[in-house]
Amino acid sequence: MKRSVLSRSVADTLWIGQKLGEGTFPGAVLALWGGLGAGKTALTRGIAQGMGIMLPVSSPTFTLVHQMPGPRILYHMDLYRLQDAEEALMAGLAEMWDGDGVTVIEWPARAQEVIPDARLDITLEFGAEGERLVTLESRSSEYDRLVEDIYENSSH
Amino acid sequence: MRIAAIDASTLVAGVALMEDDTLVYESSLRAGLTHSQTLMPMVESAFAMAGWTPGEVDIYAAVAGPGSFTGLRIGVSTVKGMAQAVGAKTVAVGTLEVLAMGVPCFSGLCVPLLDARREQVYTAAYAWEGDGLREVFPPAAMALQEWIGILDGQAGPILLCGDGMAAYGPQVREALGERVRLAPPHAVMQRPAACAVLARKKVLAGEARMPGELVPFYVRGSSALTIAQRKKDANGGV
Repeated sequence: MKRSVLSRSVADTLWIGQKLGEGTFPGAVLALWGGLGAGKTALTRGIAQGMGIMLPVSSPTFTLVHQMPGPRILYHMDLYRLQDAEEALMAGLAEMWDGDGVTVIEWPARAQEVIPDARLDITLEFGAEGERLVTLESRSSEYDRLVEDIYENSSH
Repeated sequence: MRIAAIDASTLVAGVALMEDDTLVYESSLRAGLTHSQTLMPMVESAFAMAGWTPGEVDIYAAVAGPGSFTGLRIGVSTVKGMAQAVGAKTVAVGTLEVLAMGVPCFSGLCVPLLDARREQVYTAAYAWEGDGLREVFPPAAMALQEWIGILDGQAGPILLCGDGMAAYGPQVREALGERVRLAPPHAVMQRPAACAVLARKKVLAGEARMPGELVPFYVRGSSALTIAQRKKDANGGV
């Protein structure tokens, strides 16, 4: 299932993130696609809030992954600095996304061959005047309801 | 000879202290992949309980793999760091061998299964001969079905253990029948004492190494990489 919604502000992006965070379940994997400044970190901030995690969210570009404890653990990954999929595996990332936590992956293209197939792809594209087009595509039916819920409750 | 065996290779963390051929202390904790928080307190507690100091240890042994990549690095680095600090030597012991050593004297094939995820296992096969293990199939990562096919060609009882036993044991049993047995709970996961015992044998065989030479044994060409290659091929080599 694929749906696009419009984010008119950072607040909108945060709201989408919160809805995503609230709808996550053990083992959920969310891959964030979009360039620099597209709002991936803002979205992740919302996801953490929606999961009831009160820690500040920052980009794990140099640390590769932030493990954020909460009611359910959130693994916030940024694969930007990886060379290829093998590096992701050797770093032990699969042990995280195959586990019971929730994983958010920024720059997933770096390890596209090995990230889980059963995931939710979220693409952030620049629109006019600070707007963002947020496209949610469930690659597994377990995310369908979440996509539908966000679509029905937002502008598009 | 004093040996300290340290293990963080799987969901279970463990520490054992052995003096010559006497086991002095052993602890094992299943608390998930939280070894970065639990392993050092366990090591500290082991030394305190046994009344040893780290400097009195001759050999630091690590369960070096296969297993959780992160866990292996935690265990191996801990062993390297401690050995380096006190000028001791190190020994690497294979996880699957440690598992097999945990169910000694079995008159059949001992087959440890470690979950390598995505229907793959890290596995090997050992037979008990005389007073030790003989490796029948060396450690490898492979699809469960392929491994069942290989085991099907082996006669006699088969004893399964390891963290993959619960998930894959029933499938193996269904394919190979009643000759497949499952290890009891205390022998499902690797025991640090078995690591210490194997480490001692390795030291006596001249396999002690400087800390800098100790490396994890990842078992490459593994599951996920194979999947990566398959996906790449399917996508036209992208």
